[in-house]
Amino acid sequence: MITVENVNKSFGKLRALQDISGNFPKGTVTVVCGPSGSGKSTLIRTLNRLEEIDSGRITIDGRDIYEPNINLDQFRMSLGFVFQQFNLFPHLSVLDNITLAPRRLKGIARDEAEQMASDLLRRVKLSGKEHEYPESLSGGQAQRVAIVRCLAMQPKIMLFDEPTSALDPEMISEVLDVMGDLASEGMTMVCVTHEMGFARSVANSIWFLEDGQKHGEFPVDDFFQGTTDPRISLFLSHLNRE
Amino acid sequence: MLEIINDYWLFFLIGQYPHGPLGGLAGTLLLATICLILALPCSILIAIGRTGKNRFWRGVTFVIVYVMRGTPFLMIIFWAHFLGPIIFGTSIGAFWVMVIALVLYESAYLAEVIRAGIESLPYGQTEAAKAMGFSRTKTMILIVLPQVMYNSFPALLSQFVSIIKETSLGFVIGVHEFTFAASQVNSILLVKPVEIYLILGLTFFIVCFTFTSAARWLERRIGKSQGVLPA
Ligand SMILES: Nc1ncnc2c1ncn2[C@@H]1O[C@H](COP(=O)(O)OP(=O)(O)OP(=O)(O)O)[C@@H](O)[C@H]1O
Ligand SMILES: [Mg+2]
Repeated sequence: MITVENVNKSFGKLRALQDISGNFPKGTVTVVCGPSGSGKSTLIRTLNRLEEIDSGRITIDGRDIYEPNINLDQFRMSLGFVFQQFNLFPHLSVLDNITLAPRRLKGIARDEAEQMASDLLRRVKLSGKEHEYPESLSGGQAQRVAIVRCLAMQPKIMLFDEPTSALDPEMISEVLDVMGDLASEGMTMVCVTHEMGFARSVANSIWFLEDGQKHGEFPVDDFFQGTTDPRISLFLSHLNRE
Repeated sequence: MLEIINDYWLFFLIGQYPHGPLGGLAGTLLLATICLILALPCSILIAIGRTGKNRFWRGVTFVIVYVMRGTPFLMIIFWAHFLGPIIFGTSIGAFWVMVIALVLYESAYLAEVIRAGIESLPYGQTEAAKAMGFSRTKTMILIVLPQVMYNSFPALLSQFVSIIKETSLGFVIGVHEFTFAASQVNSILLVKPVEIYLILGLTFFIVCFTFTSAARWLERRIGKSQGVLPA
């Protein structure tokens, strides 16, 4: 469970996050949405301290992630982060991309790590890609490898920042399917995404951000069945028009 | 000219070896290779300092690079030549003086090549590593440097060509290398300087041109494979 309390974050004069509070309960999927520049990436990046907050408090399972003696690298190992641009390591094969962190950070033996990697690849329907290099993968395949690379560290929480925004439309569903499977296995997930179909079928709740402010948190059904908030209706109608 | 080559080709190639130190073209290539091998680790450390967060090391490495780049190479050879014996307490020989001078000078240039490589790596690479829990050191060793060394390989090869050319300045302190061999042949024959220095120049050109072409070819190949990398 992640708890966010009165979090503020500015870039110079720009208040990217203003007084954000809320919970991401264990075993649930939360979708964060909102217009471009509303602070979604900034918010999700503060959860593993890729971005530092100016004030407020973030705790994960009761532990303040800003406590001074936290081991930051150790802490980040327990969270998976999936980027819009995949960020696979181009000099490593798919297998090595996946096993690098387990081997180098957890000291897992190569055999064991590779076995685990192959099992995970099978789960995302990428068996046989072990020895290919990222440049030969399609976007959808690369993003699934990126997800597997996180899963190989057995994280307790997965964070996604627009994981399908860089993909061709026909590849979006293969990534969303993997995310859906993950959710049904009980993974705690925070997803910044504009895929409202995914939100509707997988998410438990939805956060709506605008101009760095949180304009509510909705159970999924309420969000889509016409909320009273005109900003959200406007946002949804913009999405539908695309 | 063919006559000179015919009589002295072995001397041009290896100098007085085995009756004296290895010299000639072999001496030049040996000197350049040793220099590259020693300068690379130094330049990687300098580049890391230059791109790092630590202000102190950023300052120190900045000064090293600018002093070395702002000084004529001949001056560095003289420093090494006159300071070497003072620092080491004994004469270390012209060859090693030249190695020291070349390593000092070239580390600064190679460091700039590597720094450019580090800075041109997409930020997502280090960020992904950070998010996975890699420390800065592990990120550098496992993720940044392997890519930088691969991408910079053509530029490093070009720099190797500069090193080869710079070895000829070792002549002024009597290093046994290619130019030195040519001048020795010249002092034996006395009346054929044009031919001798033409042989010297042509050979330098062929060697350097070969490496430069290889560098250019590699650059195209590596550039191509990078073009299709996702992000
Ligand atoms: N490192 C940074 N330095 C300065 N300003 C930044 C930085 N990162 C984000 N911002 C600004 O903060 C605001 C929020 O950015 P953020 O990336 O969180 O938005 P977003 O909701 O993710 O938008 P998008 O849908 O375009 O990804 C934007 O105005 C952005 O320009
Ligand atoms: Mg964003």
